[in-house]
Amino acid sequence: MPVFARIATADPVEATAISTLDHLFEGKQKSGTNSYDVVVDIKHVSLNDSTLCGYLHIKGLTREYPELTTFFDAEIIGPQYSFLTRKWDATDITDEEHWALFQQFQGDLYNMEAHQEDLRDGDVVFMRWKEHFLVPDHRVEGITGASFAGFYYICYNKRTGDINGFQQLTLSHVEERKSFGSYEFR
Amino acid sequence: MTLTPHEVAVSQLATDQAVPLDRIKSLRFIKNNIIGNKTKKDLYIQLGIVSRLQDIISVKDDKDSQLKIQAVIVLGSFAFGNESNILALTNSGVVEPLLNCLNPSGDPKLIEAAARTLNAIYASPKASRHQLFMGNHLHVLVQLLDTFSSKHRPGQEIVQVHTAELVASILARCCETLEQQMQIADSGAIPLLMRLLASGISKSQEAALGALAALVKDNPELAQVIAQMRLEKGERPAPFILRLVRDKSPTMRLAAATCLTYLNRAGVIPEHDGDIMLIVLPILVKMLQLTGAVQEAAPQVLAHLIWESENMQKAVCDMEAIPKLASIISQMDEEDNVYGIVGQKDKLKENSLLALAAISQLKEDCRKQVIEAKVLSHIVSAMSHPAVGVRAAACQCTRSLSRSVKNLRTSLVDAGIENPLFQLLSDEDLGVLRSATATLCNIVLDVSPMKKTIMERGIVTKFVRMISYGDNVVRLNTVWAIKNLVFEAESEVKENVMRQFGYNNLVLLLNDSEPAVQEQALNLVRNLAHKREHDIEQVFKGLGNGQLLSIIEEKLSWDDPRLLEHALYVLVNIATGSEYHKQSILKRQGILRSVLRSMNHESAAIRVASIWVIINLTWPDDKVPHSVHECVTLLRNMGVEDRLLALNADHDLDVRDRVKTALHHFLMDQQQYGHNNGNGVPSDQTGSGNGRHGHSSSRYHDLQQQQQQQQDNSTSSSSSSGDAFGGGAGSSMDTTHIVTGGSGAGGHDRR
Repeated sequence: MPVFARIATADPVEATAISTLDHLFEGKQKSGTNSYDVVVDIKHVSLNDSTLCGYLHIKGLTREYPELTTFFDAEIIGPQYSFLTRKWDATDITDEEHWALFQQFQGDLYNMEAHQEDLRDGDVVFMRWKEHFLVPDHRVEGITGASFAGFYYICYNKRTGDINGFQQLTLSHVEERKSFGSYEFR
Repeated sequence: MTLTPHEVAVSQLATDQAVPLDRIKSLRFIKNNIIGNKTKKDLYIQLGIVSRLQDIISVKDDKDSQLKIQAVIVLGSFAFGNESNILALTNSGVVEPLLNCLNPSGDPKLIEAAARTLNAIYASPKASRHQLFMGNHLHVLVQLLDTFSSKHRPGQEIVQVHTAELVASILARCCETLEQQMQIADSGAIPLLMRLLASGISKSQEAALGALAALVKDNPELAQVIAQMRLEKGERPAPFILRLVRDKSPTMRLAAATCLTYLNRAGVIPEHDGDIMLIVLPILVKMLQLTGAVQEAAPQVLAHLIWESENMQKAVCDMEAIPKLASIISQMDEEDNVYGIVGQKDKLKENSLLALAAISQLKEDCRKQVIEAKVLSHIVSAMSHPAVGVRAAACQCTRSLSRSVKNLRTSLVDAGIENPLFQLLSDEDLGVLRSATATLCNIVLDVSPMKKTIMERGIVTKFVRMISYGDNVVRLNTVWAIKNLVFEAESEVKENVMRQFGYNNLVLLLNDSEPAVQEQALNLVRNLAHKREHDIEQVFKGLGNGQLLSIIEEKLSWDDPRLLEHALYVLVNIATGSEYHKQSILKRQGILRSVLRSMNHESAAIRVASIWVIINLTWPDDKVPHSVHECVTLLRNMGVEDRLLALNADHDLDVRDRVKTALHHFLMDQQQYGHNNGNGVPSDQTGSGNGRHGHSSSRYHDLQQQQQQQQDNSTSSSSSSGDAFGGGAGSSMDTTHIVTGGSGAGGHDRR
């Protein structure tokens, strides 16, 4: 999978508005016969730009790095991003095959009308996630046995709090005490 | 000892000389010596020429107008010198007699010369302007704009036009404060400037545009007045100026663009928004490739135009303005290094940095372009520039770029902004301090690798000093920074910060005269109380239970939705604490009533927050089930349950989701303890779902019908298990699950 970099935006008004959305998810990432514990921590959401970003923590991926954290950002399918990826070597057929893997996908790659307000009002949110660099040291370019060159097709079910992704990345919302801090860019 | 020719010339100007012709000869001699000659100018000033000239022009009669004219011209030559020359003039009090030379009954050539000299003096921002606004001077000045006046002598038209242009330029330079703007407007300048604008003479039009721009800058009232005026053929100024913005002269284009920018910012020409985007913006961007004064001013006008406007920032990005600005800045740095010249092009650098700051203010794409243009290292070094304006602009750049998680983690830390930023926190200039503290707010975030190191440098001690700095913006930024710093921080960090900062300072901020500061302080409390019971306990200890909740109760009574929201979330967070923490909320009727009231607030975010308070207070806890029951009963008796049931039909999805969770708690309680018979005695302890069905439960039956209906209609995959009435010990209460249950027949009793 080729590389693309799309960055999440900061918007001071929205940081508080979304502070009550679930932001921690845990689950498993399956690759072949292997399965790794995964925790996703969403750090910032920008409704205006239809993006969000956060960290992906993976355990046991390589011997050298038993615990790995990458920074990722996301394109939220909606008014700004269509189901058609049109980059990263993904063809329309690739897109069709992958979105169809989600039960909630209604089958029409070209109908964006139905998805204008997904994050705010919809039950299901579709996204593309792209990992970019390692946290804490972003200068590390590659790790033997691990690759963050691809992207994920993601389906987030707001009703159940579950996230599903391409390559059987299955995450469900973490039970946590409902306390909410808030930050804003200045 | 013999006198030098210069000394001779100066002495011959003395008023007791009988022959004016000799004095005129001396003046010519002096003039020829000083034009373009800095050394000679300084020399003559030292020889005391200014007071001699002042004496000449202060003579009351009109006989020797030639003499006066020459004297004024010589003064003008000094005024074209450097700033210390100008100050020598103003300090000796020469402005007042010059203003008197504008007397309309005098020689038009004298009036023109005086206007030219005054215009040159006012080019310096340090020259005092107050004499202009005293007595009759402003009125006299404004009348000179009127080139059609019947008072004018025939044959002097060209002189009069030049004079009008100079006067417009003077007004533009003396129009910095609101008062000055209003005084000039009140003196009748605007219609005359409009006439000048429509005169068809380029220089006059440019001068008029300069004055009009200065009048409408940051002045919505005058902007409205001017936008609504009509020119000679009935046309409004804006479309007229839009034609001038496409003139072949770059100075005209700049003057027109500047005027339109200020009108646009005042919001008085919305019908031309499209033109601004499609015509003015590209023209300003193209000016970046010119040279001289136009190139220097253009980026500042550009920055002003696009500030806070996402659309325009994106458009300017697409026009490739960033690479142009980057090359201006990097080239200047290279030249400085090669020639060792510092300070010559400071204004150009400052304005270019300001433009970059404006472009990258809101859009991540634009920030990315700035990073990719490889100009960041220049920005960082400019943060230590000797010129205040450059430092402040560079800091604004850093601030814009720092509003990005990605940049905080990568480019900014790599570029080493931490050191210079820390230095700027001790800068003497207020503008720099404001910028630096604003940037700090982003640097101290959880996601920023610089947070740890900046804390080690003692940033918290700096915070304490900056709180009492005495500027509202600096204070606001400081609280904001602390709020961001403790967000998601470890307990030790929170304790460390509060130990140095002091809870008494926090209380002062919670009662600050500025609501914006109060808001940040409340948010700070919210963040301190977030995450762990231990943290909540620390806040209780630091503020005192009584004081903390009294403050919250007070804030809950304010109309301000931002204060209200943060106050509610403080409660939400406290309610995740211990039994003692929860009880301290429940004991306060005033607080509970406010929460109940907030459930009906017009803002969905507030309604959600208030429901979260209820959710957390009624969270099932097997360790203290009776206490939870008491809480539910208390709230039910206050009418909370009724309110929740009503909110089940709220048009906001988030509200409805939270309502379901909250109602679930009430429902569970009712299942366990049965219909509330007033003293909270549980009628059925087994929780098997066989409680008596009274009035309340029929509501729930219908509620389940509603929810089942909604669920059937939704596109979500069906929610999994979860006995509606069970839950059991320590089960996960996922709040996005919909309560499922039997679907019987029966009417829908919609509330």
